[in-house]
Amino acid sequence: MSSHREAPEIAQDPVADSSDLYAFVTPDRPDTVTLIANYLPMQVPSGGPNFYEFGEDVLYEIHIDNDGDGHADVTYQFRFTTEIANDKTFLYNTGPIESLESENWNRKQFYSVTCVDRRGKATSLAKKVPCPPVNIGPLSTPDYTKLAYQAVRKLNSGGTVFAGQRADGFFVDLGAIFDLGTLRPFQDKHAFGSQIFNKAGTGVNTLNGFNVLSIALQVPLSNVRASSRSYRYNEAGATLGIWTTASRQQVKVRHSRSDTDAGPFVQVSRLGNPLFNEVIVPMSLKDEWNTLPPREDKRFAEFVANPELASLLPVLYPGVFDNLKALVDAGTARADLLAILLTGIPEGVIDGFQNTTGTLQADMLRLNTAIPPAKKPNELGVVGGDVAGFPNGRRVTDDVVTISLRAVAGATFSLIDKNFTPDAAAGAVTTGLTSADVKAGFLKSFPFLGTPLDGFNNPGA
Amino acid sequence: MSTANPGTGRLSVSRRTMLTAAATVGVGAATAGVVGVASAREYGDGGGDGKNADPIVVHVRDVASGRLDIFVGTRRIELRDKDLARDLAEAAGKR
Repeated sequence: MSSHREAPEIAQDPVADSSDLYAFVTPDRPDTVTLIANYLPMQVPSGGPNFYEFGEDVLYEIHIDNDGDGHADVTYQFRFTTEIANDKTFLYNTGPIESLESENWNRKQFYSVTCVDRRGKATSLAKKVPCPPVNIGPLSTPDYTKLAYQAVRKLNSGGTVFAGQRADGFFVDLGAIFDLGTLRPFQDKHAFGSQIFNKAGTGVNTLNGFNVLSIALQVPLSNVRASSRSYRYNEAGATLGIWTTASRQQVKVRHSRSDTDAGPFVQVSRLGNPLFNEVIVPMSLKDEWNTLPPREDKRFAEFVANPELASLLPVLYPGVFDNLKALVDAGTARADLLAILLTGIPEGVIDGFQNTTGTLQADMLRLNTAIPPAKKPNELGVVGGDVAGFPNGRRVTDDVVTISLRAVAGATFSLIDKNFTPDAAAGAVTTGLTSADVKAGFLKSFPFLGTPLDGFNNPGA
Repeated sequence: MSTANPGTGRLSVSRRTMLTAAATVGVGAATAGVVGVASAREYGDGGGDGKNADPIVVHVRDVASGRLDIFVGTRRIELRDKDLARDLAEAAGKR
């Protein structure tokens, strides 16, 4: 998955598990950037009576590096508190919830937003902002869309914020991909699948029917760039490096009624580019990667330069990726992937585009904020000729799995080495899914991710 | 009394505080060597300076060398105090 349960330790700590990070220049407000960090993945909508909520003991952060040194220049922090209205009931709600102030809603969450600058100075942006409830069903949350919209709030410093449940917009065929790398549209070409399947299959979106918790922020570009002036696309400073983290205090002492937390916050989850820790980093190093800042990622560059998946594709699909196999066998370092994931794409590779942040190797989601939103977005992003999409930031509908598969398969290596001819399959490989396979759909405006699925109508997700 | 100065504020680890907060016994009087301080960044509402009501948790890393970590608020204070480490170990039945 993008980063759902991507490492052994964080898979056991879902409240702190970052699953997706999105960053894009806002289509309907191009003077702003929208940042969305998703946590607590794979929520079954009907999972009551203790539904899903943010961790009170977790520090959630979205970091922005605007000068390419791998250090956060702007960090937005989110801390959550929970209030129980009626301590005599086991129920989440005792009647319809028609407003965020509803007395029928027994377990409310609120959060604070703090901005920390590069020197560590913290400024409170908002306190006690309400989260919406989860989407329970037509009797408990009869007009959920309206209810959730009440939780979209303006920040005094400029910008808009929302924290609460959304439908998971990530689409991927987990059942196939983790069954020895099967891609259903090519299952009959698979080394083992060819013995079972005699024709191509259709992709299945495993995450259809699951919700997540989203922290969404839309802030003026002037708040996050190094300077409040406008930038040209090829100027240093036009590109932001973005990542999200979750941290817990170092010590927890458990008591029967309330636990004691003490000590500094230590990072337990990190996410920049989708699939980085999931697919690039070996399992033995995934937990460590989650504790490190992006500026330490040079130590993982070898796994980007020679990704395991690139060596597996020619084995799993014999005769389909011969040119890739030659590249792998020659031990050629994948300069294309090193650029895409660790430094950004320099100018001169793609006409009218760059999103480099310099030479420091750091896994950050790089967004060139001087590239305007696309009028007709292509879900394949830069690979599809749309430089406003992944890996230039990431929009909610971008097909990051297919883009990543094609890049690893060699489709982007020819950008670096004009003598390399990608295999025909490198430009065609897919999981067979598009954003249209997300049944909850997406919103056209903030917070962009679709209305969460309700438990009553989705009881068996 | 063992005293540590973490730089951003003075923290006194008295016998009484230790007994109250960490439920330890037999904290000896000794001069502590502060070998390092890990100070948290500012964490908005989640922070705490540990001066008053914040619980204190002590981790004895190595009894022989007296290496201790004191966790309070959002800080970790490294302390070197052989007597204190020995007393805590005795209280824990380790000696």
